[in-house]
Amino acid sequence: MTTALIDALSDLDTWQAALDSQQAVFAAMLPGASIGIIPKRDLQAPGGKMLVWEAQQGRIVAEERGFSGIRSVGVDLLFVADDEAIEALRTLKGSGALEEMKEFIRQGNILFYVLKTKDDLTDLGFEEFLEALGLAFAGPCR
Amino acid sequence: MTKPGEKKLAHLFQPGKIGKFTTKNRVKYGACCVSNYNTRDGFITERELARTKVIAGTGCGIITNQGAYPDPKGEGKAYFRQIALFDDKFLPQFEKIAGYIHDNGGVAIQQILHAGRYGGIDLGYCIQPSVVPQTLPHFRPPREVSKEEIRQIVKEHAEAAKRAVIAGFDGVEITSFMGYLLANFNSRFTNQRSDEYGGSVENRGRFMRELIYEIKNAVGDEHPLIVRLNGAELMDRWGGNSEDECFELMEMAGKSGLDMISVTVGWQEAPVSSIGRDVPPGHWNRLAARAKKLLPDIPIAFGVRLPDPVMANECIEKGDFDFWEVCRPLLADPELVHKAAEDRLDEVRPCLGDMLCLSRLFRDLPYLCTCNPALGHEVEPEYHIKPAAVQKNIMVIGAGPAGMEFAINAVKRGHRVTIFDKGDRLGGNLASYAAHDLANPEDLQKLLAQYKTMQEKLGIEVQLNTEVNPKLMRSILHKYDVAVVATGARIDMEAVPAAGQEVISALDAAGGKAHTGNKVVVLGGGKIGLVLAEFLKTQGVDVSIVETAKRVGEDVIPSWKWRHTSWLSGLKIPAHTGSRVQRIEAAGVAVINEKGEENFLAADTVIAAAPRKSNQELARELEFMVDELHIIGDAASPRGLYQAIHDGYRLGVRI
Repeated sequence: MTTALIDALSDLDTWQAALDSQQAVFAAMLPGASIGIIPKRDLQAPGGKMLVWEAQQGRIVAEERGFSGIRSVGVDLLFVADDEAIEALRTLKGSGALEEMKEFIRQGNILFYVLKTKDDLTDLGFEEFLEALGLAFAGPCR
Repeated sequence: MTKPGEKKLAHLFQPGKIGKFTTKNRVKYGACCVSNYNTRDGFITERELARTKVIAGTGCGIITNQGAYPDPKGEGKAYFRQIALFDDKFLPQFEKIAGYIHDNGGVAIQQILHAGRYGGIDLGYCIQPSVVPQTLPHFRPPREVSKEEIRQIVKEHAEAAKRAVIAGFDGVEITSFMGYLLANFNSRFTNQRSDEYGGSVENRGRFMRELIYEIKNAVGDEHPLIVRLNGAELMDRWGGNSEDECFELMEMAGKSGLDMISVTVGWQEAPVSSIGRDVPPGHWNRLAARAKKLLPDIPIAFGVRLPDPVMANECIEKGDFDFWEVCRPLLADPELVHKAAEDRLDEVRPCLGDMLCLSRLFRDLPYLCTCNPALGHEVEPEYHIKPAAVQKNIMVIGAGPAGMEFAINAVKRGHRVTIFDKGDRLGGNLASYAAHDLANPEDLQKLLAQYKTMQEKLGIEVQLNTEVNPKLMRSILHKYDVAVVATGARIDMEAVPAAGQEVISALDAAGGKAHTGNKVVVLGGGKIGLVLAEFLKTQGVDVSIVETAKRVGEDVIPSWKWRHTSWLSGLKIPAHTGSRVQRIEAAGVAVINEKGEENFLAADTVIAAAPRKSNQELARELEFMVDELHIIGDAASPRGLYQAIHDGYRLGVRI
């Protein structure tokens, strides 16, 4: 993992700016609803850092936590991005980030794990976010 | 005596072999998905039995009954109304189904489906080789199975297989399609175990080998075992098996004593499409050919996105595979094989690949078919085509799908029907839609061709280029007992704000009645606006969409929404959602979004694709001119192809 790629996830100010420009997507999320992003290579070798977006008091906040493995991940959705996606996300600013993430998901560069059931996610206010990233319709049959 | 189509498709209609059984042809009805017609606790219903009787009569050499889950806990259960085979109490209905299949000369196979990662639908969890969280929120959180549980699962599969044979089935099938438990063990994506069931391909394939061994041991060599295996998972980008690994596993299966391999493609959660209309027919045939080359002595069945019996016949002739495995095309037209045998392929109702069946299934509903309104209603006499009690003279106004579907079925019942249409061809707006469809226009065009064929073969009188109005009606009304208004819907141009430039109806643009420039704004991001915008973009036109709703595609079948959003993204078509038109000027369109921000979209052409309005005026004028008056399809309410076809059919079979 290069420093540049680690920096991409650690640049909290840039991420906060991107999230602030997309608040409508997160508006319905209840406090504590959270999304994590990790580099793909950390999935099998936990111990690295995880970028977390968490709903706090009416806004979504970018912060950094440790990633100690999927069983104790502690977020509701987890995005696992390959190097290409992370490199691209590093350069993103503002409202383009989610749109770009959506494309990376479709292309398979970003894998996402759902740590809660559909009903739980709906209750936590994820519906708009799932729609915005096209997750509700992912899969060839759906 | 050999039928004419059997001569033409001689390879498809030659006998085949599976185990000790000789099949009458090389067509296998594939249990590609379950119907969801059954009880919540796994019993087969009368509705299902009626459907299965139809399936048994399709003429296939092998009929695979839909997948039954094998465990009493329901960890293997993928669908709320899936059938079960974990107890003898389920046997009476299975016996009936095996009997239906044998009565029709088919080899009866029962599929055992443990959904693994996609199972536990009634539970708070699913089981997997390893804890790999879900990627689709529909499914349950995972729990890792212990070695003791693996042994129990294998035992339950073997017991269910034995039960199927006791019920009268000739053989059984287990399935990895599309990401079920067998696939979960085989795949690197979901199998991250460090014991003898994980790690190497050899170890990951251990569960499969144990299943094959125990099932064969339970049912004996005289009862064939079919295994459905991925030729490609399409999960490799997410850490799943490569194609080479899939074929390593296939070779391993082939050496483990099975009797047939059915090659499948993709997982439900794979990031790319495998079976929709956006995949060209024949796209995956190479995987079957590779399997056949790898395992020349084992019968190979294949049918993923292969809806055409002519192509299947060619593939069998070339030696790409041995059996054409077909499911969805037989849902669309259960007479497909008979029509092929009788050289009547032009009469086949096509599978459109529009995924209505799976869209419903994955929303926990029974599956239905756009082109076959009787599917799922076989048990209801009201859906059967029976001779009419009273023969009527019927005029149909509108030759779109609703009108054609009505006319075909009414004539089959003995009515006399004349179709009037102001256009110069059958099909109504569907013809224009098909011409602009990015997915695979041939699918929709086949339906149009089938309407033309049936109109000619049934001798339905058609008067094209004839606009029915009260004046014409007064001169002909004495001829008819019934008028069926199937005039469709139009774009409601009165709802478009006053404009500083001409606004074109999307239907006129799609029908070639209006010229479009090089910079186009489409008002309305429903299916009509999307299809037109996508097509124009591929023709080099700079196009953008304005949609008042928060998202585009609100009227699109759920499985197609992401395809449209993906196409918009790929084609770089801006979609201004949550936006309303402020004014239309000579230079373009001013729009305002939900935040109150105004945006000016330059355009030399403005196309209105919404809102839609039913063409009902004629119906009102005919109210007191004819004995019996009906309104069907979009003329009743603007909806879509599925509703138009079903409206037309339902009226046609009961009038």
